[in-house]
Amino acid sequence: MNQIISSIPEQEEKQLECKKSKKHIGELIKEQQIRNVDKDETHFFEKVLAEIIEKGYLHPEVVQQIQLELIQLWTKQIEVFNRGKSSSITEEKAKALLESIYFTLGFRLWVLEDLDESIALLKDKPIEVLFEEGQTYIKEKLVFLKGQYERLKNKLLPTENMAYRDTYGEGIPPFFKFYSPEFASQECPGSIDYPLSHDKMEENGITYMIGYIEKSLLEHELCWKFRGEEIEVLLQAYHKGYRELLINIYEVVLMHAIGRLMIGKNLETLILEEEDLRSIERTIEILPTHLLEEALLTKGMTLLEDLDLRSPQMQFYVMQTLKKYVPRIELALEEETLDKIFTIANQEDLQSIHYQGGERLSDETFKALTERIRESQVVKDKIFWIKQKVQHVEDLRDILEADCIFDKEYVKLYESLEDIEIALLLNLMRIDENDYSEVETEQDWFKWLNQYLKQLPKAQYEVIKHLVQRIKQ
Amino acid sequence: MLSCLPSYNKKIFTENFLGENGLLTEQLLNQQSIGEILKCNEETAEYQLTLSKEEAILLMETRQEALRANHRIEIGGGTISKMIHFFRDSPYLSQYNYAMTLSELIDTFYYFKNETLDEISDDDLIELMKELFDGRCHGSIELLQGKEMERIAHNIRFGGWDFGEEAHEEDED
Repeated sequence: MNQIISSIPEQEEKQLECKKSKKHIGELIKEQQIRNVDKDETHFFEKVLAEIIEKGYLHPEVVQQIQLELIQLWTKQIEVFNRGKSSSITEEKAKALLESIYFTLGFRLWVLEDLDESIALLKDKPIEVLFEEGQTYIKEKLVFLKGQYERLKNKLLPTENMAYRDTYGEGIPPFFKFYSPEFASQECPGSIDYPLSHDKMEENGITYMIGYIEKSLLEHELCWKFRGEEIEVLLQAYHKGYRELLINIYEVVLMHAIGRLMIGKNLETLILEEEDLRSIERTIEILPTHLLEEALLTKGMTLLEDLDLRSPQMQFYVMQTLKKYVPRIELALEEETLDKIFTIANQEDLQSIHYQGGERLSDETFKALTERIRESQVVKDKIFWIKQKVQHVEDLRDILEADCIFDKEYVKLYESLEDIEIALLLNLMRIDENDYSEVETEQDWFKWLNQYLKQLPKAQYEVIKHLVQRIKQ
Repeated sequence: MLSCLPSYNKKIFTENFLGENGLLTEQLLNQQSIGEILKCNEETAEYQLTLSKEEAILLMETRQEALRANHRIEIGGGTISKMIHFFRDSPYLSQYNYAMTLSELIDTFYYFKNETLDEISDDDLIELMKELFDGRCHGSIELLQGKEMERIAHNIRFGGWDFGEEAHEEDED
């Protein structure tokens, strides 16, 4: 401390001037360009305070008072944590509590615009008050953040990528359940595996989660502009094992959209064909680095305008990603692996339907359901119970074979089903026939299905046949 | 509220942003605690137990060392005073062994705060130590440390039962 103080005297006059006027401090900061503390920095509070002390913007007495108040707050937090039952604590936990205090105070300063506002706050308000305000801000932000996550969760992409599904499905909710603004605001419970295009792993606490969810929303805003099943096809084309890969979906979408714009194609689809790839290659291989970057950024702006994504945050994010891709594209050109960035999707894959089905019925539930259906006096009730409980086509087939639906009841049931559900039932039969209605069978449910198909309008029957061909297991 | 901030606590504090020299010196903080310990002489006098200033300083040093060895930080200096308060009527304490026994009890206390995973409050742990010290251990610190407290710590770590009651029951046996 003495060392710090001793380095200050030559600036004492300046400090006194600083104390006189907040405006003056701001001007001085700008003049001297001392704003070395980036808002994205970790240990924000410590760095802001160190900067203020080093530059002498607070009187040594004020600094001493801040130190004393910090120790008192730390002491209080340890006592509260121990609930008065113990006067000692492990060093590890004490250090974590101190880090939590710093983080919360940092969050209080983090929301401010300028360093001069931080100086004014530290000068005018006791540390404990700032700490309480920081906690309030964190709690408010938590509520807001939860809302943002719900928005995201309701519109997740229909992908089988496990990191994506695990992170957005199960990895983030523990954060809202276990995050402790009181004693561990610097920690970030939860499990985040899915990599964002720009992920600040060094951040911690709620700051990390704010960044993660806000960036996730930006990435999804772009992805939501395209069909989910098409994005899935792109991922399949990217790598067969894409389900297990740690890949960023937004980057795949962005680069394919940019690729299409580069060769003058529209954004109705993201699919690139062989010829498209060659055209992209011809377009960019002649460009030096700065022109390649310029071309990418220009197309990026066009993309954002076309998709009506006009927020400055979105623009900044997309431009950052495109800049990141300049050296990657150059390397891909060198190594002739441009198809790893602009992948050629299989059109057949795009056409195919991947059926996953819902949860299968347990034996007990299945038995109870068939008994209930059997006991139902009217077909309407039978259909109600089937629709209520069955989530998988194989369970539906098992119920049809369980002697609980009879004769024309089958037809009534089929009439209540969607075309895709009929197609899934037909698909289960694995019939290599062009006309399902002509297939001979001993199974009652299938005989009645044939009857049902025969009475359908031709167009609808063709739709169902086409759906059966597209279904992939 | 803040009567002690050991040097290694200060290190944690200073490591973060304050440089090498902390604001509150260890010496200043210890002076407060030594005063608290000496004030206990008023309530132990009737048991013919007193501590000199030198002995109080030694106890503070023992506490510092025990905290350091067990990687713990203490807020306030009340533990030594509590220890004195609980143990003052022990039949195994005399002016002859008073300071030395207190020193060893302090050591034992912090060691078993860790060993019992902070599951026992300060008061309960001191009370338990007192019961065992006066009872099954017959004033032997070695027995208290090496046998009785170890057994209790083991049970807390691997099972968890009402250690207080068992101590009573075994005493009755």
